Amino acid sequence: MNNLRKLFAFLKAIRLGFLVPVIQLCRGEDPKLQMRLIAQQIVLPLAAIILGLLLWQSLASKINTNLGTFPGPTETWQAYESLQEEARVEALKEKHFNHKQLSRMVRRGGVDSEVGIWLVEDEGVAPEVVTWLAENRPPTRFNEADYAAFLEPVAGEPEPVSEARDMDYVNGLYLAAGKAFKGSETVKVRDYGGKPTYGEQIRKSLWTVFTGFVIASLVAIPIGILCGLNKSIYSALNPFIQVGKPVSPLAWLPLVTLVVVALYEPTEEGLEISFIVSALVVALCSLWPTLVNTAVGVANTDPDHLNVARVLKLSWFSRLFKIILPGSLPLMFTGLRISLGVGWMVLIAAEMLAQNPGLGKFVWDMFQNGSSETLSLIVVACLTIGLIGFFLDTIMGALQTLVSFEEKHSS
Amino acid sequence: MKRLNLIAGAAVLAAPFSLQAELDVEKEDLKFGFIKLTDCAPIVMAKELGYFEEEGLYVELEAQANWKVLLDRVISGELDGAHMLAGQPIAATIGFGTEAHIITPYSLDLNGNGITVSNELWETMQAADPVLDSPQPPHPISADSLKDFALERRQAGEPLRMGMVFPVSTHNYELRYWLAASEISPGFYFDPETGTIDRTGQLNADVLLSVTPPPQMPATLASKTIDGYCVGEPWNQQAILRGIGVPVTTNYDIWKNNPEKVFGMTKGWADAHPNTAIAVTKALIRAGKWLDASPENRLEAVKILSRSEYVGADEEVLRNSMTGTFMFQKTDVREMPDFNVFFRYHASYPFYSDAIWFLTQMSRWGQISEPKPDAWYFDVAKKVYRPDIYRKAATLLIEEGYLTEAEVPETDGFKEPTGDFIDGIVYDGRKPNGYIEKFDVGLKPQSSVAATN
Repeated sequence: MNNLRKLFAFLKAIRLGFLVPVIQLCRGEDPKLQMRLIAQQIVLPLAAIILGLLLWQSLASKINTNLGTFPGPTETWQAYESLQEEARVEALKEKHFNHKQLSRMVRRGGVDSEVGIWLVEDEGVAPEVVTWLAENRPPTRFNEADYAAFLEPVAGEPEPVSEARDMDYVNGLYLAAGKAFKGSETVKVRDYGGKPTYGEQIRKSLWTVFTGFVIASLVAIPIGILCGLNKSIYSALNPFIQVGKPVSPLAWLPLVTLVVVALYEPTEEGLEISFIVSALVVALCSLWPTLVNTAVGVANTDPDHLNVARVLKLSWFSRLFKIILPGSLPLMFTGLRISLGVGWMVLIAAEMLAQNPGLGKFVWDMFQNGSSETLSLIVVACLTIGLIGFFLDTIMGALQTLVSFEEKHSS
Repeated sequence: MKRLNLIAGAAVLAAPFSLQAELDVEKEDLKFGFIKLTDCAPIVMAKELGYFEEEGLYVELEAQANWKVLLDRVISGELDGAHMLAGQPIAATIGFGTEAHIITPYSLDLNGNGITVSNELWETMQAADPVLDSPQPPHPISADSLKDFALERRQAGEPLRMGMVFPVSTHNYELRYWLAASEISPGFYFDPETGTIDRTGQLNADVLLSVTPPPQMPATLASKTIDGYCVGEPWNQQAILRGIGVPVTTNYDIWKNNPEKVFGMTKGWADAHPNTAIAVTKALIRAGKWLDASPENRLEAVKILSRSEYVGADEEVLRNSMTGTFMFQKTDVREMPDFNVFFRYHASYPFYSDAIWFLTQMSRWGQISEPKPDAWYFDVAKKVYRPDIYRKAATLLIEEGYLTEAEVPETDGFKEPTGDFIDGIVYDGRKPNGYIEKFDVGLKPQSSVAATN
């Protein structure tokens, strides 16, 4: 029974609370109540979503922009599919590029090239295959049909070669070469420099917001604790906090850009300026909620707890780490949760301006394209941004409930 | 034993696979920036056709938000080179705007811009000059029909507003040239009488010009923030096809075969990577030649440019100008075989006289506030335009059989004087100060007298 309650609490924390009545119904517990809960928590939201989609579809066709009518759910779905198709072609292009690279590497000396020897001796590739790689360059320009034709087996060629005419196999060899020759001075293995796919842009955005969020937390939590512990420090810092909090990311960005460009020398392997700028802007805008909430959490430590600590003659450090911090965790996490939400919102604007190749740049580029697909692609991006924001908030929410539970147990 | 076999194999292999003579490039992985305009085509095609790869270069192309961001990122080293407005390297080198020594070894194209006005403004122009009220009015269309209305609006305290893409862009100078040719003042950056400097270039202006990034032009026009604009393709064709505005003239009518965009890099970068600069130029020359080789190639380029990572506009919109037709009205589609020139007429060679024309316009409108001797113009042109790199690249291409001798001009860098302007004023790059003297509207090099008006 206790386990079940824990499970339900967990489900609620990760926003799957609507499953609770379903499970209860299966267990035969108060079916009438469960049915009512299911109607309220599952059927109603689903109906609302369907209604919303229908409304969207019918309203969309009435809005005429100079790029065509506003996309409805169908066009949005098609745009999403076109992004998938782009990603598929991009993956093929990458394999084609990697094939060209491998071919180029062994061309300089065939089986006797550094890579050729490595392929034969370490990877167990037949020498005929290495010769084939060297002799047959894939077409310079990528074209799906041409590349497929190039890979067609030729009658009468040795068996290992016809087996090697497989883009995944060649691609695998190239990727292995990438690992084997990492840092080599004589053999340069390079990544495919094609356009970032939608998935890669999403990952870039997540990575950027995460970096910014970590920086913000590392700055905000210690300062927040200091402010919470000492009223004078809080009063002294308060003006800065109040003035810094409402500054828009768009205002920070030019300043941050100029400072980063002045202080940071980009190297080939190093971080990109646009990434640093975006992450710093995210950090600057999202540190405030964490800071304020941490300060409030620390300042409002239960006086009873502090009295107990005094009786036990706990050292300052023990008091901080055993009494004050655990007590302020729930508020701190509330702050972190708000911070991450703010950070995610700020990120899109920052990426647009800093040209960091994530979702923000995607929206901006599509807007600039002004093609008939522009609107539906931007709607796809909006939905993606919304869903990811929701997902991030759920994670933070779950963490928040987790620390709140612990508080209950400890009290 | 195995090794022996391998070596025997190598001997057979060695001969047929010797690589085509490749330059020893200092940097193989490059990142170039571009703005979503059709004239980025040589850079895109050099990548897509594999010309960069054949030079041993691995190039990533990245669209930039606007010209300022693009220039700043070239200067900061985030970009190795970029598609630039012809005026950008010159202005940066002389320190108007962000200061940095930028050079250009390659001119990307000729022509390619248009001036579009809002539907309302077009109706006003038609009312002022009934000849324009026709399905196919005679060209070129000057700004004469606009003059009275522009002055009226100025007196009413609501001057007309027009967009151009950057203070030192061809578009700014062309829009100014077009307005000034009809005695409408586009405003000045400097007033010699009072010594006032105005970074927006709106001193004493009949029409207020302001900066809008190219891809946003149609949206800005549609939202009535501006009444017209001068921009490259596809944003004029976009306006007519989407019913937002009417293209009235192209820069081909303002100045036949005028230089438009260049490929720019910092001098520091080119000095540190001399062979890479030559290799890049080689690939660009081949791409430019390919683009002008046949209409089929243009169509193929249109297909590639319409991809979302490049220009991204619909094929139909891009096709118009890239394949030599231009739509002025739905009823007025004209053949303009020279609307976009990438290679013909030695379009890709960096002529000093082209750089000097931009300098004369900077002086004319007060971006260069002090009078300069002719020699200064020649010096700046030689600092920025680098035909030496172009020649090295071309010589290698001739050796490799990709280029013929006739395709590289024999020149001292100055084009012959030409009067192919909308107002017929003759431009001789060897006499910059004499040229500036000829304009009625504009600052004069020697005098401290303000412009007419």
